[in-house]
Order: sequence, then C-alpha cells, then structure tokens
Amino acid sequence: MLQIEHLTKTYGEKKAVNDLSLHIRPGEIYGFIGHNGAGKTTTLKSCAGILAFDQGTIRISGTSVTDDPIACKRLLAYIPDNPDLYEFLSGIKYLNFIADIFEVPKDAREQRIARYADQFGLTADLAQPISAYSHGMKQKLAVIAALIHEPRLIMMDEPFVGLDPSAAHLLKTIMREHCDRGGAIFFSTHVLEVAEKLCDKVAIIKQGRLIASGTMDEVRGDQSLEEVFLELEGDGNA
Amino acid sequence: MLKPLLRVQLAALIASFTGMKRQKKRKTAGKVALIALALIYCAFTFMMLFFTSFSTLAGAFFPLGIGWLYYVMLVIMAFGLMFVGSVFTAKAQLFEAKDNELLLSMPVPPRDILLSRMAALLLINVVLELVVAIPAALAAPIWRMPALGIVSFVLVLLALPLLALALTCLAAWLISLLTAKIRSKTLLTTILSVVFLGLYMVGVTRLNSYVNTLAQNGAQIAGKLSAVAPLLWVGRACAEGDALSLILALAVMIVPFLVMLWLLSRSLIRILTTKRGAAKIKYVRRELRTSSVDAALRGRELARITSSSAYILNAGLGLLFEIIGAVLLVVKRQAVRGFLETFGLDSDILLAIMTLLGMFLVGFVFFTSASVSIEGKSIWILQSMPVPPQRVLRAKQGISNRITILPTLCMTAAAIWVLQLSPLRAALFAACMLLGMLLSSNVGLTEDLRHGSLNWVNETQAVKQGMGVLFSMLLGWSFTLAMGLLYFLLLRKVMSTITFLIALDVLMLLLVILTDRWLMTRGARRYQYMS
Repeated sequence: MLQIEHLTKTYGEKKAVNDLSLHIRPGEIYGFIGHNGAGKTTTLKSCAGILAFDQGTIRISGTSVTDDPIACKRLLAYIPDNPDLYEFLSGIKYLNFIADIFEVPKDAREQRIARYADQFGLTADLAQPISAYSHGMKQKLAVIAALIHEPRLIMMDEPFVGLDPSAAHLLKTIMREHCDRGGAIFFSTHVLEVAEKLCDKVAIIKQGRLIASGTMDEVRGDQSLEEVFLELEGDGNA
Repeated sequence: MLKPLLRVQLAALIASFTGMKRQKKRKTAGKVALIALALIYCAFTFMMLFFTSFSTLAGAFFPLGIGWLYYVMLVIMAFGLMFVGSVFTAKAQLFEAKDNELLLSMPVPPRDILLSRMAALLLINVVLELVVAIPAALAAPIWRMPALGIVSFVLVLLALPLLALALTCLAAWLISLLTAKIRSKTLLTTILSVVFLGLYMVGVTRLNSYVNTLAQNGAQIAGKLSAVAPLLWVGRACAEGDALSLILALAVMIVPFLVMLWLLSRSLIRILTTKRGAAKIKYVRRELRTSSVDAALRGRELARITSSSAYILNAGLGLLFEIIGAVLLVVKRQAVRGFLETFGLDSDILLAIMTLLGMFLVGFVFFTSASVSIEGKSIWILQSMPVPPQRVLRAKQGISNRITILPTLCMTAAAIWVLQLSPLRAALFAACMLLGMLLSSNVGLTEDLRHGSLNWVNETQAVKQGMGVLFSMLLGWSFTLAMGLLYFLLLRKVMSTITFLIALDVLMLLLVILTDRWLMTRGARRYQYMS
C-alpha cells in the first residue's frame, strides 16, 4: 500500500529524514515512534504530498507521490498533529466541502457524516462554526473528514491527542475495522502503550534514521515496547 | 517580564510590515527600502495636506490673538486621526490576538500583557500624531511662543497619544463586546468600519473647506470652544505657556489612560476568557447540497472573504470607490460635461485621464493579494487533497474577478455614458478596465505567493500588513503612474490616444498571460509546498 524507499529530506544542513525505507501492506496498522524532532512528521507530510523531499521514492498502491500526486491523494487521508481547520466554516459545511473535493456521492456523504458524527457525539455541534469547537472536537471533525471518502491509506500524526477516552477508543475500533477491510494505517504516536496494543507493525526512528522496524513481536522481543524504545534511544546517547 | 513581551510585540510589528524572517535578513534590504519609500511617500503626502491647512489657520488665528485655538485644532485633528486610525487595530491586537490564552497561561501579570500590546498601539498613534504635528509645528510661528509654551507643546504632543489610546481601547472593547454577542459579526464590523472610513474620507476630502470655515469664523469658534475647559487648557498651555493650564491639560490626557490601564488590567483575564459567543446553533439534519470541485473551491474562497470584515474592507475598498465613482459620474454628469466644455479639454486627453484613473481604482482591489496568506496554518487541507494547486489558484482568481467585475462594469459604463465615448473608444476603455482587473488579480496572487506569510497571530496582519498586499499595491500604482508619465511626457507627441490605448491593452494582455503562466507553473508549485 505505502512504499517508502530511501527517503531523504534536508532542512538546510540538517537531515530531518535520512535514507528511510518502510513498506506498509494492506491490512496493517503501522505505528511510527520516535523522539520529538526525529523526523516522523516530515515523513508523514512527504507521504501526504505536502512536503517536497530531496531523495528517494514514495509510492501509494504502486503510484509515485512525485509523479502522480493527485492519484495518490485520492487514495489517502492525512490528519496532521494539530487540527487547524477552516474556522470560518461550520462543522457540517467543512465536511460537505471535503466531500465535494473528493466527489463523494450525495447519499454516501450524508450517510457517512451521520454515522461518524453520531459515533463521535458531534452531531449536535455540526451547525456551530469550527472556531467555537474545542481542540478535541476539532480532532474528531478532522477524523470524520478523513473517513468521508473511504480512503485506502490513512496517515495520522498523533491522532489521539485531545480525544476523550471514549473517542480514542472509538478511533482505535475504526482503525482496526478499516484495516480489516483491506485498508492500511500509518500513524505516529508517543503513547507507546497504544502502539503496543494497536499496531501490527512498528518502526522506530531516531534523528531521521530508521533504527528498528518489523512486527510488534520482532521489535520488542520479550520486553515491553517502552523498554525497547528507551534502550534504542539510549544507545545513541552513550 | 515586560521587556521580552515588548521585544516580541516590536518584532511582530516589524515583521508584519516587512514580512521579514530572521534567516532572510540579507535578502530583504531592497524590500525594506521599498517599504520605507512607500511609507515616506504616504507620510509626505499627508503632511503636505496638513501643512497647507495649518498655514491657513495660523494666518487667521494668530493675528486675531486667538493663537490658542490653533493648538486646539492641532490636538483635535491629531486625536481624530489617531482614534479612527487605530481603533480596529486595537480591537484585533488587544481582544482577538491568537496568543492571548497562551500568555494568560504564563506567569505574566495581565498588566504587562496589556502594556506590551498597548506599546505597539502607542507607537502607531505617535506616528499618526506626527503626521499632523510636524506640519502644524512648521506652520506655526514658533519663534513667538514663550519658552514654557514650547515645552507645553512638546509635553502635550507626548501625552495626547495616551488619551487617544485610552479612548481607542474603550471603543475597541465596546465593539468587541457588541460583535461577540451577535451572529453576523462580520457584517456589523464591516458596517462600523465603513462608517469610520467614511468619517475619515469626509474629513480628508473636506479638510480644506472645514479649514476655510474655521479660518473665517475663528473668533466665534474660539468663543464657543473656550467653554470647553480641557481644550482651553491645552490652547493656553501652548500659546501662553500657562503652567496651571499645562498641568490640567496633561492630567486630562494622562489620567484617563491610567484609569483605562487599571480597569483593563483588573479585568483582562475575565474579558479574554469569558465566552460571550452567540447562542448555540442547533444542527438540524437536512439534505446536503453537492457542488463540483471548482464550485466548492470558489465557495470556500467566498466564505473566507465574507467571514472577515478586515479582509472585506482592506481588499475590497477599491470596489467601494468604483461604485462611488460611478454614482458620482452619473449624478454629477452635467457638472462633468460642463467642466469639459469650460476648460475645452481635448476629449482624447480626457479619455487617457479616465483610463488611468479607472486603472488606479481597479488596482485598489486586493482580494487575491492576501488569499494565500490568509489560509494560515490550515493550508495543509488543500495541499493534502486530490486537487491540483492550479485549480485552487484558479478559484482564488475566479472569486476575486467575480466580485470585482460588476462594480468595474458599472464604473466603465458610467464613464462611457457620461463622456459619450464613440464605440471604438468605449471598447478600448472597457478592455483597459477589464484587463486591469485581471492583471490586478494575477499580480496580487503572484505577490502573495512570492512574499506571503502563513504565520500570523491575527488575520489583520495577513490582510492589512501582508507583503503580498503592499507589493501588489505598489506594483499596480507604479504601473499606472508609469503609463501616465509615458503617455503625457512622451507618447502623446508621437501617437494618438487610440493608438496608446491599443498599445496599453496589448501590453496588459501580455502581462495577464505572463503572470497567469507563472501562476500555473511556479506559483502552483510554490502553493503546493508552502508552510
């Protein structure tokens, strides 16, 4: 579904991502963990086609993000770490706008908006301007907007930040259902317990370089993910 | 704690005017020079206007022995300019800044937050005051003033911005309270802003006649105003060097500021954290309206524009001028035609003048000049969607042109009718106006893509002080000025106005094509990866 080969992105002198290669298959929830500034957001943004990179290739279902970004973007949904949405629109107008852009048929969009808004408890607030939403409500709206066109690949940057426990639980359920239907999810998180319980595979990035990746069992062995992460992070500091 | 806040405010103020980031300092020397030049030009124009007015007043008041009225007029004019010029900036900076909550969450005394923001406003006020005060000081017979009068003059000038700031903050607070309570806050703010702008425009355009009335009725006005004690104190302090009057005048200016500072400091947290929003709108499930991708993009642009009174006013002021121009042309058509006959103006010269004037007004519309910057941190949404950036840019051009075209056509039709242009002249004139509109829209978008910034604290920085707006304004006006000079100084001798208009149309068409090409290639790529 998502193939990242030798991705390199430099900001000035600093290599934010250095020769990173990852392969995310359909049906996988792939966790991406690393310290602050490790290169997670840069990788996700490059995959979403909103950040130009220096070297490497990124393919979504075999199509290069560089060669045919529009075709790739039809297949994916991206949720950034901070849900900066159109505060001048109401929640429902925002969702309808996203549906228009993805050309989601009328019945399908109405049904999906109703279903997800009900599930996230956002229905009553859909007529409110987004500027009146709390951070958590904006995050819920961003998630609904990401799901509205039934993407095959969902990329999320810290998706659980700001969500209340029931919304976080619901998101985890939706993520699992999405992958069970053949979709894939690539998301970054600092909550290692969530990654441990939810992810099929995990990648650990440090200073732009991939230092571990594989199935959860391969990466953690008989330790907890937290212990492995701290150990790997510590190696570089010694 | 106040020092770092002041530094941040000052940096934000400079950055908003120059669009400079630290790492780009070396590249911006030319930019700074251009901005400085533009500001000096504006200040000089206004100063000349005020110098003429104050020279008239000085000639009328001082010989009558009512010199004190001169200083009162200075104070009134400076105060008016400061109040009208900064009330909406005060509203945005004090009560709507995005970092208010961040600062309140820090161990920073509310008074320091206020003072740091007020310092920026005070700086704006001082600049506005100097635009009035310098010409007034030059026009007054300063050598006749007593020493204490000169000291009083300086002290009054130093204290007056504090009074203006106090009342500006009060008005901004009231407007903020009022607009927070109602749903159509954009409409109300726009109306209030237009009223303020109207007052300002009336003041500036009628300044001469007001000044003449004042000069002719100085003694009567002096009699009436002497009943207003604070004004009399200011006048006496400056004209006669009366110490008691000076103390009282300074008290009148400083005390309200201190009271306002005390009041706002005490209640800042409550003001900023109390949710005064309109009543919650309940969602009623109903059929959704679908749109094509392009229509949705245009709808989003329109929603963005209409959600912000600052955007409407700053970008759409030219439309108001175009409509006023069209109405004035039609209403005063007899006077215009009479004027032409009286002065025996060559109709071709008049056509050239009207074309240049029309282009000037068309170049006063800046919807595209801030349309990228205004996206701010939400730019990722369209960047991550399956929409080519070219279509997003087309939507920005499209909505700007759709809003602009009707007033432009009205102005064009009015000019054609009133000047009774022949079909050929009318066609060339109309082509100039429409191409000018397209060019203005393209240049605005180009400049915003080249110089715009997505990092702003309040949206007025993007729509009012953004580099895209400044550059497109300067380019538009410079182009019109250059064409005017070229025609009147050179081309008029070698070609007819018709030929000039054809050449102008061709040139503008070429520029429209070139800018459009840039937008659809390099501009689109720039938009896609802006951050």
